[in-house]
Amino acid sequence: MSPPNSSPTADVVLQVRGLTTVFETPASTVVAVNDVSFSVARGQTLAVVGESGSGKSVLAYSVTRLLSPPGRILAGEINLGGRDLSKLDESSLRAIRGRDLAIIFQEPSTSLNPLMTVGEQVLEAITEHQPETTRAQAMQSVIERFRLVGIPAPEQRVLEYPHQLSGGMRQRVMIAMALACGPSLLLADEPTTALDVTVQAQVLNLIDDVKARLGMAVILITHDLGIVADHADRVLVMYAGRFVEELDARSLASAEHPYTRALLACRPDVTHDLEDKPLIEIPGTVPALDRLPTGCAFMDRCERRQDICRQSVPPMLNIRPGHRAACFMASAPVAETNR
Amino acid sequence: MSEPHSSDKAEDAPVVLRVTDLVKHYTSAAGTVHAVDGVSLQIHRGEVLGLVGESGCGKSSLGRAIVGLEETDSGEVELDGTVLTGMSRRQLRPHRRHVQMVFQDPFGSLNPRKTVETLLTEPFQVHGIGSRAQRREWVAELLLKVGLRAEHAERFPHQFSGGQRQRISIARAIALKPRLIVCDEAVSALDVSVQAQILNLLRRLQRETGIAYLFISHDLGVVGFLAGRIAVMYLGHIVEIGTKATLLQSPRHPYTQVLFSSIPGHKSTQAWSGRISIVGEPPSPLNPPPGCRFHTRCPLAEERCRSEPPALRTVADGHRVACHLA
Repeated sequence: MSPPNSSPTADVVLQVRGLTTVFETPASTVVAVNDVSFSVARGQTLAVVGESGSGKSVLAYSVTRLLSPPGRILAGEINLGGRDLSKLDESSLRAIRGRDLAIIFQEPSTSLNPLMTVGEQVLEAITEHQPETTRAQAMQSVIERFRLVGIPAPEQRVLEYPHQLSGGMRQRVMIAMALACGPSLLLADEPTTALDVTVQAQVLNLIDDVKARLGMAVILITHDLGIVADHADRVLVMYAGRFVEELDARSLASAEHPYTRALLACRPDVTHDLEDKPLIEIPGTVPALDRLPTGCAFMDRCERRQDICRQSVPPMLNIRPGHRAACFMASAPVAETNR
Repeated sequence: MSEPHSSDKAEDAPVVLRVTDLVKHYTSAAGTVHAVDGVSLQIHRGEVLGLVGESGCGKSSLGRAIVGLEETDSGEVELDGTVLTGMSRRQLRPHRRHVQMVFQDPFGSLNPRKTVETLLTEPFQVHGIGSRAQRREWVAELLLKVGLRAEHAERFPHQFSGGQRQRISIARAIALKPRLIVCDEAVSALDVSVQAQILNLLRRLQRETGIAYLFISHDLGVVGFLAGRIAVMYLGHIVEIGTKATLLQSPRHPYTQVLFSSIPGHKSTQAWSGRISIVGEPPSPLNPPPGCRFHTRCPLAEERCRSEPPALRTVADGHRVACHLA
């Protein structure tokens, strides 16, 4: 794991500013991602954490411009390698996806063509972006990539179809495909949620390994704070479409937002019951996006709420360098930021 | 009835469930799946036994066989001293109420056309217990017990959130005051903030009523929270079983060690972490390897592991391991 980047301006790979994504139906407009700004640097893993309905997957689809109607980016910039993805048309985007930006999803079988051998699919990804490569060279490169991602007997595996592989192997194929052209950014949306725990560990270690080797930036979208602690440098916590906290993964224990703190506390630990205490509960459920309270969206579930929380949405405040939280009750905010 | 729960106490308590040499195979065109292959275990009154393992290890098949949702091939399931395996449906019916099941997906297990009142009254109807007025009263009590309100009785399942639906499933499971509830991935579909509510509820009910749980999950954190003892399953076999403290502090089977050190966010907390690592994935239960079924992934495997299946033997009081090298 690389050390957290102390100066975020150095080597910034992706910079997102004021991104807002809405879902519009005749009946209503729902704001799924609400004015979020963040950046991720070379060699860094940024984890975006949230429960279902937090907007973390919509964020992933927005950043990669894979959003389909009724979803729509309403505002914001998505700067990758000097270009604003939010302004590009589909053919320019296609050139960027795969080459500069690689994407891995939770269920690899939905992203793989069942009628094509996995070798052929990775080969296609390579030749699409490197048309000068010969077929034989490209296949050799596929086999090397399969070896790189720990697929045993790659010469045979390239000839197999997705259904012949296990879930873990399919995810390795997706990683091999994602890395085919040496992208500068890898976005992984719940990449191991469908995998068994021993396989999950292998796949996450693999992502860490190729990140270090290729010097990529990684955005890891997950609901699991345990994964964050082991594999991320920085963490963004999302709730009801907004960022509520951003901090160093190693500083999770000093989180300030009541939601982040509760998320950490309500997670059962295998050693927990040796102390025989009940888990901390967060009362209620994540609110529906079309029925958010005015003010802080977490207010109804928060034990620290005050009148002010009801009146306006708390802005992201600097707690200390590299640590921001959107809570009026957070300790010692020093200044408002507008990164 | 409220008895303080500890693993020592549970060991002294009478046995609620005794499973002996249970075998459940599924035959298909592709071959025979050895889902449960000679499993023996006991659960004492008021005890929570956690059952962990990866997908395909047979943990759900074992749970379903115990509650009678699957016919078994051989072996015995004994509940409160009565052998249930081999009974006809009719013979089984009076015993069914003593063992209940809570599933992962409350959508699938709650009939969407029935009100909560109907859903919770059914168990009493089926077993002919109580008058109409009594049943209505019991439904209200059940709802309160699981953290819902009496007026929720008139609503339909879709009007509830996932966590609330799981509360309804739990209310249904505890309606007839069973001795044992098999929880199969009961909190796996829930968000972590809601999961904590359901876990606390399950634990509170278990302590208040003395129900025993067989708590099946792939999530060791969740199992560790509830269980006093843990059984680890791999490809149809139990490879290790012992108290939670024993398995956490001194796991003997290499697979248990791997499984526990794979828990995310748990790397630095265990003395044995990093001691062992494996590659690959569980082999298909269609063609389990000969000898020790873990030998294809085990870094310590020796010659006899490839040919000789290790027996589950006692290595310390209440701690059993199936490994030649442990």
